Amino acid sequence: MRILLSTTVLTVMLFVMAIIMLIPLYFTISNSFMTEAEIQFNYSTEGTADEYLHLKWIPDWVSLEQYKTLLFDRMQFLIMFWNSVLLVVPIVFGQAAVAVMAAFALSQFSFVGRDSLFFLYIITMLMPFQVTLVPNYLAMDWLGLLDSRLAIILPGIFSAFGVFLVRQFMIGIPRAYLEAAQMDGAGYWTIFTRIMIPMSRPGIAALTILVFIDYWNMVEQPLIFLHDAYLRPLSIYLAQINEGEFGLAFAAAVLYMLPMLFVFLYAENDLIEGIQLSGVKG
Amino acid sequence: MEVVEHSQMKRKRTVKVAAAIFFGLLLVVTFFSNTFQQITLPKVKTVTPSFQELTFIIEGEGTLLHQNIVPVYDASGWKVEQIDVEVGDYVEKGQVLIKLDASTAHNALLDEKSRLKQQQLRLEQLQENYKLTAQTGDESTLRNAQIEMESLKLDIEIQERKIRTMQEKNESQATVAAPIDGVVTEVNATLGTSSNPGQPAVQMADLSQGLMWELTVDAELASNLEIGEEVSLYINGNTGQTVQATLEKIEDAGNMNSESGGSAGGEAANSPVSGKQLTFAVYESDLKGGERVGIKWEKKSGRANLTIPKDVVHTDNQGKYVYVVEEKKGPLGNQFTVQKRYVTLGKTDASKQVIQNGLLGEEQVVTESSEPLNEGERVRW
Repeated sequence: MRILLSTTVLTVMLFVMAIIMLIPLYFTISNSFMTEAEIQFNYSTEGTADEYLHLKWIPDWVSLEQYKTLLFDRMQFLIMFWNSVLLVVPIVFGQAAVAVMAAFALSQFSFVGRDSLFFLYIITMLMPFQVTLVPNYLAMDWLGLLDSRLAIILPGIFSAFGVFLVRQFMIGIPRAYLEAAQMDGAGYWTIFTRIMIPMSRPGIAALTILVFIDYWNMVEQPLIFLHDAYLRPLSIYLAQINEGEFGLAFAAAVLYMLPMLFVFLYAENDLIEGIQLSGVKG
Repeated sequence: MEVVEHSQMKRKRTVKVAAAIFFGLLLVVTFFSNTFQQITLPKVKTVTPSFQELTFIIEGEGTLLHQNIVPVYDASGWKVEQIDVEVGDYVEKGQVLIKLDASTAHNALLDEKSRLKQQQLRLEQLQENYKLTAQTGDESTLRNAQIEMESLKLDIEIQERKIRTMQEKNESQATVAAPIDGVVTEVNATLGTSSNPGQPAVQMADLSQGLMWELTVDAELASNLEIGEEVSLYINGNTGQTVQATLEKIEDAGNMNSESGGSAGGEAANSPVSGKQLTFAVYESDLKGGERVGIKWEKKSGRANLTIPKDVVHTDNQGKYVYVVEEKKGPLGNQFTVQKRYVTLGKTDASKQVIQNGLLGEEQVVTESSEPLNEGERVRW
């Protein structure tokens, strides 16, 4: 009885919290079907008695105007969308490849300085982007990569977080697998491709999703490294949404959200498993 | 366990399909994005207003005319016997232009002379009669004879005067002479017929007064000219020969036609009402008049004004306006819309239009568009 009661209370609490979390998402989606004029009207405090916005739950007139404008009328939106894709996809694949190999070495081999090296990785990971910003910028300038996509892709690929995450996951794989394979005459490459990668699939999936979301949402890096407006990703647009064209923001947000949603839904189970097993919380 | 895996597989497939549709849609839309823009947005070409001088080009051709034409009349009514001059002949003052057939007048004179003779004979006879009557001595008859004689004497005096007048007339009117030194410009007399007294038999140009040429131009062009300006006209097409001329008069063309063949800026010839007639005087001794002359006179306004091409100005019921492209910066790149800008117009020349008010000089003024524009419309640029 007590257990049932506590479960009910917990469920209600979670339900309330879920509602609170979902309200902004609901507003984004419902507002994306409003006309530009309706949004301008709703988000204006003029004429309201108490200077608060009175948001509407349901559009006055369901319209695809915002989507139409974004997809057919604003080339810049499409350019930015593909810019995001062109930045994120190489980072995700590159980081997965580099991280898996590094994690393999750090988790399955014993060599001198291994732990110190890993410690360095963690230190790097703990530093926020803002701290490494200036050295990063100087390095990019020195390499002549400013205003090029590589300025974002290269630091992205060689990120410490991926190594850390996958290493944590691989450390959970018993050394016995490795030894058994060695006994059967497998080389390191075979062990890596045939055993380690399949076994750390959830970890790699978690890494992929986390990295994808992280870099899909990045704002600072492109703002700093990309001066050319034609190279900038969609995340910048959403960050600057208040500077004009407010009426298109919601549809843009929905379209912006979709790739992340697809990635998440596709690999949801792997993500949860990966995070659980590696002992890392997102 | 298998059921869970199956449902997972199914969901993954659904997500895959949805993602494929989404990315496919965006790819297609991106591929056609330029095409959509082409369809939806008119393309415009623009120009920035610039500070320039206006260049007024006065162009035209015509015939050099004489300043002063003197008509020579033949009021005699006699038949023309001989024409001594042709158009273009140079004649001196007093030179015979036309000889007239005076035979009728001569016969009439002879008749009158005969009549005088008859009257004189009759007077002699009356004098004889008077002498005879004086011998017989009838007082009243004598008196009558005296009166008759006196009356006849008066008639003879009248007749003599008439003959004298006729003689003088015959002598003076037998020929038509030149009243001035000059050039014959027109001969209306025809051999064998008498001249119409209302029409000059011969027209002569007074060379001492020089030549002139009239040209009708757009009033706008004429407003930049000053009387007394020297220009050079080319003669007989483009042979390189020029002659100096002075701008003497600027008058309203009124309903005058551009007889001189003058035209400037294309419009002027068609609308002489709004035009001005320029009169150029030419003082050059070796020209006779009638030569084809022309002008191509470029005149700078002297002061640089803000100008735009002439044909970009539109009119609506609020006045004159131009379309300018305005840039709206946004996170999704810059957007360009066209806006009306009402302007106050200044002078124009053949290609440029001065803007007195309404533009600053940094605007992008639309010169061409692929479609008719409306205010606020987005354009490609």
